[in-house]
Amino acid sequence: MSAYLDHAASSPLRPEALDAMLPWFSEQHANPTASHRRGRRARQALDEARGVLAEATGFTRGEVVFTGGGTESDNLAIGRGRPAGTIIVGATEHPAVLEPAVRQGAHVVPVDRNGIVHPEAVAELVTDETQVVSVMAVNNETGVEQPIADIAAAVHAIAPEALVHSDAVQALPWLDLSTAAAGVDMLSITGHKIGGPQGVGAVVVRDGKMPDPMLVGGGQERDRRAGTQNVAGIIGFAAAVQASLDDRSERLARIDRLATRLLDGLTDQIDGIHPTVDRAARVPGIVHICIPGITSEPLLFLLDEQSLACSAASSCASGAQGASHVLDAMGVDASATAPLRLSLGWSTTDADIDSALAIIPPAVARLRDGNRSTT
Amino acid sequence: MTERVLVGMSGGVDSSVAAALLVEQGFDVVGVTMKLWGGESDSGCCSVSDVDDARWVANQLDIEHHVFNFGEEFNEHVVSPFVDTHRTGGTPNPCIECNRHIKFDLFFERAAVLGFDRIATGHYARIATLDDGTFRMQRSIDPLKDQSYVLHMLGQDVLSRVLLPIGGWNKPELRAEAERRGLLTAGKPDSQDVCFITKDGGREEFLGARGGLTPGVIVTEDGREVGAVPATELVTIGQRKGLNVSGMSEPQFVVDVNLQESIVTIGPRRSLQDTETGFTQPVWAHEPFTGEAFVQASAHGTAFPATVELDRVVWHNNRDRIAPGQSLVFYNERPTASGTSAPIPENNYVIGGAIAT
Repeated sequence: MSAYLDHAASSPLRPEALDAMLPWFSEQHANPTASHRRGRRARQALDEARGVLAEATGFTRGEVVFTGGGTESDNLAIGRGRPAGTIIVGATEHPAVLEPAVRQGAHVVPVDRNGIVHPEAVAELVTDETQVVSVMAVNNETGVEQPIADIAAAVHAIAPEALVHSDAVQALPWLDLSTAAAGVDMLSITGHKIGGPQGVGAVVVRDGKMPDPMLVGGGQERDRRAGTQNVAGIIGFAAAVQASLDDRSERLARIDRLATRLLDGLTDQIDGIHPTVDRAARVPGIVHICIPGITSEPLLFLLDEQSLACSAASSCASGAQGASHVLDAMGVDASATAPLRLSLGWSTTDADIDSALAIIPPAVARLRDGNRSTT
Repeated sequence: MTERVLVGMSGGVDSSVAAALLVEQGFDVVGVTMKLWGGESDSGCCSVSDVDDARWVANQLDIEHHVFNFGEEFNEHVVSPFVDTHRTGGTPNPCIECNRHIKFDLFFERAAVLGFDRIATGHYARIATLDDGTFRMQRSIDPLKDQSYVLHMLGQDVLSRVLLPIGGWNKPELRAEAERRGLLTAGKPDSQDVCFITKDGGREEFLGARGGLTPGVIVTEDGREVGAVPATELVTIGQRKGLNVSGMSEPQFVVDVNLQESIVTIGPRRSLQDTETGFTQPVWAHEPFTGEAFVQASAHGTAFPATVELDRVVWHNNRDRIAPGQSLVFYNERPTASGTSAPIPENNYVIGGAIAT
C-alpha cells in the first residue's frame, strides 16, 4: 500500500512529457542559437513550446520567457533595486516572492480567514509610486484561489503603469489563466507541478513590461534571460502543459471527486478534523486539513513509514518542519494541530485515496493515544 | 522480532559510528537529526551542513534519516533557562538541561510514540545492569571523553531503553573505526563547549544581546575596590582569570558575586574553600540516597569524597566553593585521576545528582 499525494510539491512526469523529451537528449542536441539546421530545429521546437505556454496563459508567444523554474521567474518579476514601499505583496506569497519583496521594504497585504487577498485591501496601498504588485493565483499550501483579475483591475485603475505579477505555479494545472489572470502583466509558471520536468519554468510578461534581466550575456530569450535554454526540459514542460490543456475538464472533475472522497473519508474517521479553507475557495487538487491534538512532524514520520507521501506546512532547507507563515497570516492557531497538505494531480487514482484513508486515521489515532499516555 | 532503534545523529563522528555499530549489531535502525538551534554557531551545530552530513552517513549505512525540529523546545528548556540562570547569578550547564529535557525526554517520548523500542546516542558513557536488575549510568572507558556527568539525570525507565554504543570506545580508536568504515564524518573536529555560543562572541555577546549585562566593581574581602568587570553576571565563583587586578601578594579568586549591588569579591584560595555545598532538585538513578559518595561538580572535574545528606554534600576535605547552578553528580566510587588515560574502575557509576545552591 502506498500513495503519492504531494503533487503540489512535484508532480510525476507525464508520459507525454517524457516521450517528447527523449529525442532531445540524444540525436537532437544542438544549441538553439546555432545557425546550422540542427540548431534551427531546436529553435523551432522552443518556439512551438512558447506557443503552448502562450495559449495556456492567455499571452502571446513572444511574451514567454523561459527560466530555470518558478523561483527564478518570481525573483525576476519582483526585480531588484526598487525603493521601499514601491512593492506590494500578499502575506501568504511563496518565499520566492515574499523574500525578495520584503528585503526591498515591500508592503505586505493581510489576508482573510480563508487566506484571500481582497482587491480593496491592495488598492488601499497603491499609489502612483507603486512599481510591482504580486499576489499568487493559487496558494501552494492551502490551494486557495486569489481574485487576481480583480486585483489587477483595482491596481491599474489607480496606477496604470504598475506591474501586476502573479505566481501562477500552482494555478497552471487547475485554472484557465487566460480568464483567471486577465489584466495581469506577469505570470510565473513552472514545469514540475504539472507533470513536466524540474528545473524549467517561464515568466510570461506583457510586451514592453519586462523588468531588468538577472542573467545577461548571450542575448537568449531576447535579452530577457541569457544562457542556453534547457531545450529538452522546455519541450517536456510544453508537452505536459499541452496534455493538461487537453484533459482539463475530465481531469478536474475526476480529481474533484477523488479529493471529496478523501476529505469526506478523513472527516468520518478522525474526530475534530476540519478543512483549513472552504471548498468553494480552493482548487480541486489541494486538500489542506488541520488535525487537532497532534503535531505534523511525527505524523509525517508515520505516514512516510507506510509510503504515503504528503506535506505539512513547509520544510526548511535542513528538512526540519517549520511553522507556516501562510497559516499564521490566516490567523490559524497551528500550535496544537497538525496541518497536513494532501495534494492530488493527473496521476491520482482511487487506489491512492483508498491507501490514504487506510493509512492516515490509524496513524492519527496512534499519535493521539501516545500523547495521552505520555503527558 | 528485531528491535527498532531510533538513533540521534548530530552529523558528528561519534553518533555516526554509534549508528554504524547498531546496524552491525542487527537492530532495525532509523537515524534522526534534532534541529535545536537556528542561530549562529561555531561548530555549525544544527546547521544545514551538519544535517547533510548526518543524512549522508545514514545513506552510507543504508538506513532512513529524518529531521525532528525541537527548536522551540530547545529555546524554552535550554536557552531561556541558560539566560535566566546567568541573570540571577548562577552558572548553568545547558548540555545537562538539553539531555534532561530534549534528548532523553522529548526525543525519547517521540521514539516511543513512533513505535521504537529504544533510542541510542553517540555519548561516551555506558549503562550497567546491577545484580538486582536495575540500571546505572556508568563511566565511559575513555576518561578524557566520559560524559556520564551530563547524563546523570537518567532514571530507570530511560536507562532501560537507551543504547550507548560507543561507551566502550576511546576517541582515537573510534576515529580510526570511522576512517576504516569510510564514514564521511571520520575527520570532523570534535564539537566544543556550548553549541549555541560562538567562540568569537562568547557568553558576553550572547547574553548581552538577550538583555542587559551589568558592569560591576571588584573588591577585596576587606572592602577595598581594586578593579572592575564589564558584566557581573558572567563572573563565576572560583574564577581566577580575566580579573585584571594586580599588586596582590598571592593569587586571587572570585569568592562571592553580589548581583544586587554588582560587587565581585576576590580573595586568596583559602577564602574560597568550603566544608559543604547545598543542593536542590536531586534526581536519582534508582532510589534516593544519603551516605558516602564521590561528588563531581563539572563535566570533566575530579570527583571528591563527600557525605551526601538530604539537601547538601559535606566534603571530607575542604574544597573550592561551587558556583550555584552547577550540577553535583554523585558517583559510587572514586574514578582515576582526571586527565589520565588509566582505566576507570569497571563499576564506577552514577547514584544521582542535584543542582548546587
